[in-house]
Amino acid sequence: MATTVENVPQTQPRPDQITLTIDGQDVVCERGDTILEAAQRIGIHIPTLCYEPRLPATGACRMCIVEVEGTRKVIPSCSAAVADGMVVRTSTDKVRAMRHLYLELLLSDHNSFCTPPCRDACPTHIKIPQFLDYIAHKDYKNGVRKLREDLPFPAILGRVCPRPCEGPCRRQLVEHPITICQLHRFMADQTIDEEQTGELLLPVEPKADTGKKIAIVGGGPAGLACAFYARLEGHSVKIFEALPKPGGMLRYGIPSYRLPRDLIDKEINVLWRMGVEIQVNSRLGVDYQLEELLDHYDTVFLALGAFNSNDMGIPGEGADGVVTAVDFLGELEVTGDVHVGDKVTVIGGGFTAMDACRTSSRRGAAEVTCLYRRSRKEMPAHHTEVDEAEEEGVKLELLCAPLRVITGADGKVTGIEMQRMELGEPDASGRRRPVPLEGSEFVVECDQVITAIGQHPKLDGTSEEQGVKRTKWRTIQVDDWTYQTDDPRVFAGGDAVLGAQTVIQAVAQGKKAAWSMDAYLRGDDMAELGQSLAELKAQPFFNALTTKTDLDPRIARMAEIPPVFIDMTTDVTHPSPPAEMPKLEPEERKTNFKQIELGFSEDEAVRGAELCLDCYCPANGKCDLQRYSIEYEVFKNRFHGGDAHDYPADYRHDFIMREPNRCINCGRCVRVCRMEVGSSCYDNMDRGFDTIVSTADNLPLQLVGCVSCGKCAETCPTGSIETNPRVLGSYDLDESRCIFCGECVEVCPYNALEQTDFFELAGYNRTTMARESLYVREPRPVDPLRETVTDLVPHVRDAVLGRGWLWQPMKDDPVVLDDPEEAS
Amino acid sequence: MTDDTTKNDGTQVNTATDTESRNVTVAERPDGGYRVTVCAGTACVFAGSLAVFDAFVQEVEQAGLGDSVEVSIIGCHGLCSMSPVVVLSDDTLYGHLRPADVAKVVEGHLKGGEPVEKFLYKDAQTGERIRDWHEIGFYKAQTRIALRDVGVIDPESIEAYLARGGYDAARLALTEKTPEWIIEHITDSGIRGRGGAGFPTGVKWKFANQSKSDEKYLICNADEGDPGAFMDCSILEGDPHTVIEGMIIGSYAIGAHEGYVYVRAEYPLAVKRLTMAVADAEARGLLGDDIFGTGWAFNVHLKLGAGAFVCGEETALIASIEGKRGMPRTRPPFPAVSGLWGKPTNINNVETLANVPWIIMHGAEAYAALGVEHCRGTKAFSLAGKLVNGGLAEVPMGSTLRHVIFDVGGGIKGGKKFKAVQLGGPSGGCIPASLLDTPVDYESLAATGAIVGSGGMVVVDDETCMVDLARFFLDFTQKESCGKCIPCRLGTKRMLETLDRIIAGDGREGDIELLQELGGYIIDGSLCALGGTAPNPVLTTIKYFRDEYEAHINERRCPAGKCKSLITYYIDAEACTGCTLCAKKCPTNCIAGEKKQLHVIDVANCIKCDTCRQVCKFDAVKVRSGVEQAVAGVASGAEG
Repeated sequence: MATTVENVPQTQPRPDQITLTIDGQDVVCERGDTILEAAQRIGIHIPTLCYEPRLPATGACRMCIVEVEGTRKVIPSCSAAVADGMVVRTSTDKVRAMRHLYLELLLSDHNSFCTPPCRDACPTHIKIPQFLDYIAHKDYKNGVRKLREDLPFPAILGRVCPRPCEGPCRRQLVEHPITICQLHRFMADQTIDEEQTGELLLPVEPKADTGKKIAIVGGGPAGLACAFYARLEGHSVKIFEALPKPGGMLRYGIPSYRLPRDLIDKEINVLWRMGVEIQVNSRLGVDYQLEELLDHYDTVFLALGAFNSNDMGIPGEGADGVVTAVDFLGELEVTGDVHVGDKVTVIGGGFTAMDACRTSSRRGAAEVTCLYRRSRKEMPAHHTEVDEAEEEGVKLELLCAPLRVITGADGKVTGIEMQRMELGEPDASGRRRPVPLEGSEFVVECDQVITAIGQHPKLDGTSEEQGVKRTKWRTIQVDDWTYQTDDPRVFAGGDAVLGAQTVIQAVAQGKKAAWSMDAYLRGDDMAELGQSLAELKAQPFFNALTTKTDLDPRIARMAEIPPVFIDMTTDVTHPSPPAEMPKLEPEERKTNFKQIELGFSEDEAVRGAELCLDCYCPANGKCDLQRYSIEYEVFKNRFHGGDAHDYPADYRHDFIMREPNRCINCGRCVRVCRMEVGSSCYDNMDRGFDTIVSTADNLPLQLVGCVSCGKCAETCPTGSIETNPRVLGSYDLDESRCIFCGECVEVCPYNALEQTDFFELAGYNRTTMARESLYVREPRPVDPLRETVTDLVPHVRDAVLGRGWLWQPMKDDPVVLDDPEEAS
Repeated sequence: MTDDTTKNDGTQVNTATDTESRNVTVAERPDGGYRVTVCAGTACVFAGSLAVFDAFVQEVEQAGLGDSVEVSIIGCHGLCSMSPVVVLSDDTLYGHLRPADVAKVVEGHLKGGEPVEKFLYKDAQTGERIRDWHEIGFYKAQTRIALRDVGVIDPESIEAYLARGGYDAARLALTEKTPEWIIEHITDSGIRGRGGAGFPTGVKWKFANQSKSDEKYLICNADEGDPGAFMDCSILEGDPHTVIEGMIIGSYAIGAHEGYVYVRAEYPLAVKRLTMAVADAEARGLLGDDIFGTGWAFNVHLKLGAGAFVCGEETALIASIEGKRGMPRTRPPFPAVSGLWGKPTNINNVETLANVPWIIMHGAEAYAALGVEHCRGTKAFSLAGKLVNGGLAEVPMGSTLRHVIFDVGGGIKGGKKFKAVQLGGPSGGCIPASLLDTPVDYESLAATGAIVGSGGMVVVDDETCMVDLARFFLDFTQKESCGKCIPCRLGTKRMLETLDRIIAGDGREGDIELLQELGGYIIDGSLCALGGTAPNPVLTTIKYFRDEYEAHINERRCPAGKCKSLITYYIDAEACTGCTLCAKKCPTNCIAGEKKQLHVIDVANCIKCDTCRQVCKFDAVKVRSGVEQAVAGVASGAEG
């Protein structure tokens, strides 16, 4: 019985086709297809690391394993052919467990890192490995430029930052964290004086004037940072400061032994030289109103700070002799003098409390006691601050809370009654909550009480009616992403939004508010912007990284992606602890306001910077190993601590950079180079655990027949092979020597050289012909991620910063021929 | 010789069966004179057999027996534990001969006709001297097919091979049979690949035969790399022509005109004899463009492997021949479809090929009559380790391990207790005493967790630590991993680190489970059989000797007394005579004691080098398993 073709519906497979089931879905595919290809056809993604679509399967990575009904062992889908009626499962518990194990194994000898944890931890996300690299090369000017991409005040923050970056530093897995903060202080100290009159060290030239005007209310860290970045965007900026000098809490809250005043002036002077106007002694609501500003300016940034101190809420708080730390420190700064008692108690355990303690003792207090309700470990002040205060004779009385202020007959303070506390369950902040111990009251005698138990914003001059809504914490309510208040023209940031927080957090807010205002002033849809940033944050980590690269760079820079850390090897061949910052001895410092930290010598700084492990991978967000490790949640590695390799990176080739520590031996470069390019530069070397892809005798690529095509970098699934940006104007042809053999045209893997119509005219005037016959094609636009490579490769960096265009191999080949004159 | 010799029609082979040619075998000379054959297998050469050979030549000459006695060499005779071995044409086997002893043999036996008792094989149980090697248990218990001429003929003489009917099978096949007949015949014989995987040879040949291509290749895999395995080596050294003959038959069956023998460069003797054999065969027209006048062309090339274990894997072997790094690739395509230079390729092991001529000559039924269902014929094993009779043995498939170890191998040396046998080399597994009655065939052994493998058998006694043994084999495979696939390159390394930890006394709770997890996923996920079998020694020792692992991890002691971090040396107060020998030999001077007084080891300085125990003539130096326990032991010893 013959069946006619017409009777077979279109959807039926042809007789020569094969039908199989993958994860419950039927797939029709051609005979000879692999399971992997069949799965791809219906959109099922099977993980692979060594699979290169252009080449035959190699089966090295074992990630593409699947289970097939009726077979006992798992099979690699990249090479197994489909068969009729096959039932394939790509994501069973068993294959997932196996892939997880294999990733764990790979990462146990993957001596690298995706993103520097320091950078993620920093609220401003300064590019730490990059600027440390500049320090290591004693290139402080470019270091400051790099740093100012994210943080305008390296000298100030180098002194007062609580250093969230140093906590997660990966170097401490082997020894101590790098002294990141003190190193950027060092770098800024080298350049700040010259910058007062000389060249400004800006990350980029300020953009052309936009004609838009921004008013910033408050000259503290948030306002100043906002001014810096708004100015770089080409807007005109004016700061209104209520106090006699700009600086906010930097000047009126932080004592000069931590932050010398001339440094504040110098860093603000940079702003001044950038064209930022600063008007002092002008208080919002007193000297001018918000509406007036809005009449004259396109946007307003409220960076009002947190100058109101929190009340203790205990009897006797208003007594003579009780003062807030903010008032105490502010008065000293404004008037140059302040009343200090003989026996001073300071309530609180934060930075401000320490500042009050140490200032009191410097201003002549005979006895200073710091009272704090939790234990030393929970103190918000940086531990070095606490240590130094103690060295200077400040007494710590921990685990006690004030009950009432005791006053004498004259109404003056004579003491404070305290109650002992013990630590209970952790609260929302993760610190253990203090619980009072009944009947444990005691009295601390004193004649002055300085309270430093937190501040909240002073929002005078703004009102809810103006659209400046408050939160329940008495801060200004803004959009999470755009920093806009209900009035779209009014933005806010810093302590006024955060409550009293650190300088670095205020700077981070000022910066992002500036970028947000820029977007607003340029007409962006702010709701859409906020939404895209929120969506980005909500995405799984790896997707977010990838998506971020697709966003407009002006929006992407405002993105916050919570990092994910994959547990991988850390191996350091030559451990060496970082230098310790030299300090004044307690005896030398405790009676004066001299700067305590003396700064590094150049040798110490360079050595300290050289210790950076450069936990940075240019493939971050593009790396398949990273993607699968996140997908399979390899956040804890059972094989950590076993043998691991520490290979030197290979920068010997001008265009291709090899970092064998990131190599996973997938062999893609080996095969692409051999089968596609025909150069055979690479192969697996050595045996067993030591197997590594390398060149013969580990010779530089240029000596093993490399044609610099970059296809190895293109196929590399990790960041093991990367192309350096190339700096080329164009190739010059020496007409007097060219014989027009066409070899160069022949071998170029990217067809970058072309023969023109004149090429065959051998008798033509050589000089003219050569000029017209061969030219270099125009490159594709530079991938912004590639810029990061620049920072890592010292010898290329200078070239990139100079003239010329960036070269990058083209993945697809959509080359448009353009006039070479225009391209240059 | 007549004019026939110049013709390339196979008549040369006829002449080879002349009595004249037969004289080169070990058969007795027609004149009643002796023929002395000195074993020149690797083990015997190392034991000085070539000097013994020279001594025989010299002594025979001096004794004036030059006319009646002939001295020649043979390939491995099998009983390597007696090396150097000398076999006389009256079937007398002498062992452990030094050149100086040769004169006694010449005088006593060749001249006097009386065997020299002293150098004869001594039965370990009865103490009886056995003259005729056929009567020795080691040989009596064997059935030799692949090894039929090994140790019988002079491997460097093609005449010797021809005299035993050599190349008759090839002639028969090429002149009278079709490839289909051969394949059917081989299939019927039931022979399976002797390289380890046990794939039916007939089926393999059929695939290769059916592959359509202008060119095909036949490769003989002689990359025998297992520690303790030397069957292929012995065959190539002792009877290279049988392999070449097998290849000729195979080439005809599958349609290949080029053949390669991939042999390890570290088998220099095998390489030399194989080179010689190929040259001799070519000279006689047995290889070349017109074999036996049939027009069949077949050439054999030698490819020397650099010694990478993984090159025994067929795809890695092919890559190596092609000049690439020896790394396996994923299959399909199988070599039978796309192998060497992308052409259909058939790869057979040495031993498989050595069986082929016999099967052709004796018939598939004769071969199939041996062995058990699914596993026909015989299998050669190399017996190594703590056995009385170590060496080369061939037994029918399905013989029990007990038969091989106790009947052929003669049991454990020094009256110690059998503990386990590691079968199949580093890819195989450890089989405990309780499973000694397991028949040696692919399926039964696989069920125990071990494999037949290429046939290496390492027997261990109760002084061997099983964790240490597993570590030894895993260390080998880990270092020999080609590094291509993740489970093998990194997984075996992490397993090895775990074993190292256990041996060093730092084992952790959960290490056994970790080893099992890793092992399971390495076996399941590895690209080739190297990784796919590498965890076997670990997994089988855990399976059968889990208590030893637990003792290492939980009690910090090594029950076999081998792992240095987990044992302590002490001197038995009862046995010590105060001879001072141990104190004199101690490299760290940590043994104290006056003459005729009890000696004491200072455990703090003892480096556990074992020297004292080895030198003590009174067995007074003892090893105690465990560290803390042993310190107490020393104290009690001192008191005693």
